Amino acid sequence: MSRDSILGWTLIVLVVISLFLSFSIWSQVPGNFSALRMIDDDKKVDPTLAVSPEKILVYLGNSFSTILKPSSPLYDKTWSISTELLTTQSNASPELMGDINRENFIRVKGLEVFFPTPLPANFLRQHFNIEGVDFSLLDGKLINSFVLVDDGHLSVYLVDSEDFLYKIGKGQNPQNLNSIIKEIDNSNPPLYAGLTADVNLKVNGDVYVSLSPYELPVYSVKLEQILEEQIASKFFPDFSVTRRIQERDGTVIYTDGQQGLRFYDDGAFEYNMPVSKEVRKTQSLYESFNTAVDFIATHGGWPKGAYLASYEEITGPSGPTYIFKFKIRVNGFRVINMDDFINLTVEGNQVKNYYRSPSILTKQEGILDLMTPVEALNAAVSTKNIKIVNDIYLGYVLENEKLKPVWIVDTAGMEVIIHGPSE
Amino acid sequence: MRRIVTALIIAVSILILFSPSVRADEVKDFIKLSEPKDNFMTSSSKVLLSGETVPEAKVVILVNGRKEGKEFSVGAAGIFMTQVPISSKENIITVKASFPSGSTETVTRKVYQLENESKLPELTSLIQTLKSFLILK
Repeated sequence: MSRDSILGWTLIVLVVISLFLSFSIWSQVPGNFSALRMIDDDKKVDPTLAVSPEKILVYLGNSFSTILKPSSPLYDKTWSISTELLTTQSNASPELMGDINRENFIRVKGLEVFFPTPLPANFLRQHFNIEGVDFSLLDGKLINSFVLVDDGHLSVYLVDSEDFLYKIGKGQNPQNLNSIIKEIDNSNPPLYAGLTADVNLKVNGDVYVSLSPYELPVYSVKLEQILEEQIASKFFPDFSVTRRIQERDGTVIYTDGQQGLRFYDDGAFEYNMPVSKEVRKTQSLYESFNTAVDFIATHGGWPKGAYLASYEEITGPSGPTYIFKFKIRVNGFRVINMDDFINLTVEGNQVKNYYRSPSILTKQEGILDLMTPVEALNAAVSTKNIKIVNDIYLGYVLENEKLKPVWIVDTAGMEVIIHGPSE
Repeated sequence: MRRIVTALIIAVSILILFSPSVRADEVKDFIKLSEPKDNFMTSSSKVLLSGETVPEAKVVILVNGRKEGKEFSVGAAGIFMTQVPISSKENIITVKASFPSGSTETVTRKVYQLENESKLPELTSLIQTLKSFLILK
């Protein structure tokens, strides 16, 4: 073999390697569609996932704060430490401290953990295993958040939906709290500050905004193809007594004469099971919530980012019925124009109705620049002429099969959407 | 003739009353500084500065007489919020607003930077003691 042919073959091999590497790099950008489902069927799910906080407000102790969203790097660790401290340091019967004044917290180190929906105090007591404490003062109260602060000792408070503050514990050592706050502070988080205004714009309550602009991903969305038989097998273990009926509009129904499962042509499915009086057993809200979470996990899988958005108690002659509504967070943020992802009714100790929307697949399409919240408020005032601000927060909107990050201004009973400057 | 003059006077009065210049005067020029509070003590190297002023006003910030950052315009909401670095033990933060009417207004705050966090509660308790002493007096 001549020297020229060796060089020629070497060149060809190098070109082929270069083409292969280029292809493998560029073919993977920007990525594949990924499902929002994260936990496989049949696996037990920790119900804490469903009430994981909407946000964790971190008081850094120097008039600055930061907010951890579910997508923030230290969110899971902070949530885990907070729940542990809530459980172990809640050692006193609730004492009403009056209206919450968050001004008092901005000079101390602390955490305020906001639930996705207000929860009854007794539900929290059961859920977080708070033992040996009489919660009767909080009967009928809905709790929005809990606060852990270092005021020399570690103090634990609950904040109800009317912004009343209740002290429920005084621990000995705030070391765990201080070390997580220090870790958050050292991670160079986006700084937040309380928004105050009452001349041009009236700010109601405590509204915290970041001082910096945001960059958030945009996602394209498509519906996941469902595996009908695989899902049906979770509801009907014995297929020999199950009938499959296909209706003219494309709907498929599985039934064994008692329970029914309906697959809609858009990929949603709905399960119904009449609850007989003989097997009915009265359950509390907390027990019913656990029944709901277990049922979802084993019948379709627990969707990534799902959270308890609301619940309802209907009292009937044969006991209470609970309706739980779950929504989905994308990248840790709410999707404001998406319907409930799961709607589930628990009667007695059984699931009576379970509706689940089609699962979505998301693929990151790029990054969108968002203005600072103060700029978003300027835009809201100049374009929508708003006068009152109850809150301003980031979220996603579903538009033309894309999930786009936006600012949402909560004002006088409506939500004003402010798109990014390039939109 | 008298009727015409009366009508003219009424028309002119209405025009003056509802003219844009008069209405603009109704919204007085102002600047309110929510943060920092005067005599604020911190161990941090930066201070939150937030407040409210007239929409479209121009704001400039000075720390110990030195201009900090560029002059910026306030938007339609009239809100401003930023952080300013401090490096001295005692800092005078001055916020100067130039209003669309041409007038200006200045607000100042004194901010103390502490060497470390541990001195903060000691100083706070000292101030509390002094305050209670003065109240008792």
